[in-house]
Amino acid sequence: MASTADRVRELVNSNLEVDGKSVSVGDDLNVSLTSLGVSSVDIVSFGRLANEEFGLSLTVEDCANIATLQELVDRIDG
Amino acid sequence: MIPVDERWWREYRSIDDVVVYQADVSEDDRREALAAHMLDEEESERSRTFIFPGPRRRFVFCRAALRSILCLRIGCSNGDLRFGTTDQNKPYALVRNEPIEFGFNVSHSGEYGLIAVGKPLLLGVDVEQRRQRRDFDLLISTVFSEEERNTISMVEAERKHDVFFDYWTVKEAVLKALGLGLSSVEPSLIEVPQELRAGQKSCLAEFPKISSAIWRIEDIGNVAFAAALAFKVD
Ligand SMILES: CC(C)(COP(=O)(O)OP(=O)(O)OC[C@H]1O[C@@H](n2cnc3c(N)ncnc32)[C@H](O)[C@@H]1OP(=O)(O)O)[C@@H](O)C(=O)NCCC(=O)NCCS
Repeated sequence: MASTADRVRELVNSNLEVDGKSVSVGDDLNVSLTSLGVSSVDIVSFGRLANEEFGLSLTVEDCANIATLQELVDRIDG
Repeated sequence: MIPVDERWWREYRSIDDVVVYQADVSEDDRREALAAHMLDEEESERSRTFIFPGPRRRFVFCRAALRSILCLRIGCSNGDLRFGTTDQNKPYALVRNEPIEFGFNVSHSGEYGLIAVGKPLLLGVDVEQRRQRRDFDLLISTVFSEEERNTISMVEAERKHDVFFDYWTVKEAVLKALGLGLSSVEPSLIEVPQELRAGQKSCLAEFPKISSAIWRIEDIGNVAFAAALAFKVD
């Protein structure tokens, strides 16, 4: 079974785009969506996808407060 | 200073005491080098943290244009101008380490950058390049209030994405004027004023769920991008 980190990476890589190109994050998940240049609309949308994928109930505020993808992984596993 | 004929920004709109400039943030290596040269050490450092070239370019072009515009308006040199940020990341300007009493705000999306400057200190601008998305329905159900959802449900299918971006930029412009972010306010609490939903381009509005002030809201979008300007009225 895929780890949470792998699933988060897959969710990002298959759903987020910057300037029409897929975002591709590697092993290091200590990256923020803002340093990737993901816009606020995309952050909101990604939060909803994460809710569906992981059975979470993150609000828009929660998503914007998650600083890095690793923090999201920790939150899911925590 | 960048010579007039080399500038990548131009005046786009002027509303009361606020001027909005539009910056061309499309790829241009020579221009980017010129712009990067205007940044201070902290900003250059920040520009290196962007992983992709597009977001870096948007930051560099808009920040350098903002520097030029502010220097001319305030009458200071580029070297004397520095930016700090609030705990919610809203930039403010310092000249020789003294905060300036002048409002400004920046937004960028795709090929477009907007820079608003003017007397109102509480000033926010937001731009979104218009584009198709697969997830409009999901977004609409997340960020719009019930009333907004009702209005948008009556819009023809092919115009829905335009209306989504029009409403979204109003919410973000108000959030940004207040110096807040999505991390502190749910966007559905800022309701797009009835006048704008009815097709007006400008109105005075209140947002009682988040502020007791009166705001001027302007739809400054065009066919290529949705954009809104918000500033507090005295
Ligand atoms: C930042 C935010 C105010 C606007 O985001 P956006 O629509 O994607 O970006 P825009 O291009 O319209 O605006 C960015 C500009 O607004 C300014 N800005 C940043 N924070 C601001 C704030 N709290 N208030 C007003 N302006 C702000 C900056 O000048 C920034 O440009 P710069 O970095 O080039 O100087 C907001 O929507 C937000 O809170 N986003 C989420 C941030 C986040 O969630 N980060 C962590 C997720 S992993």
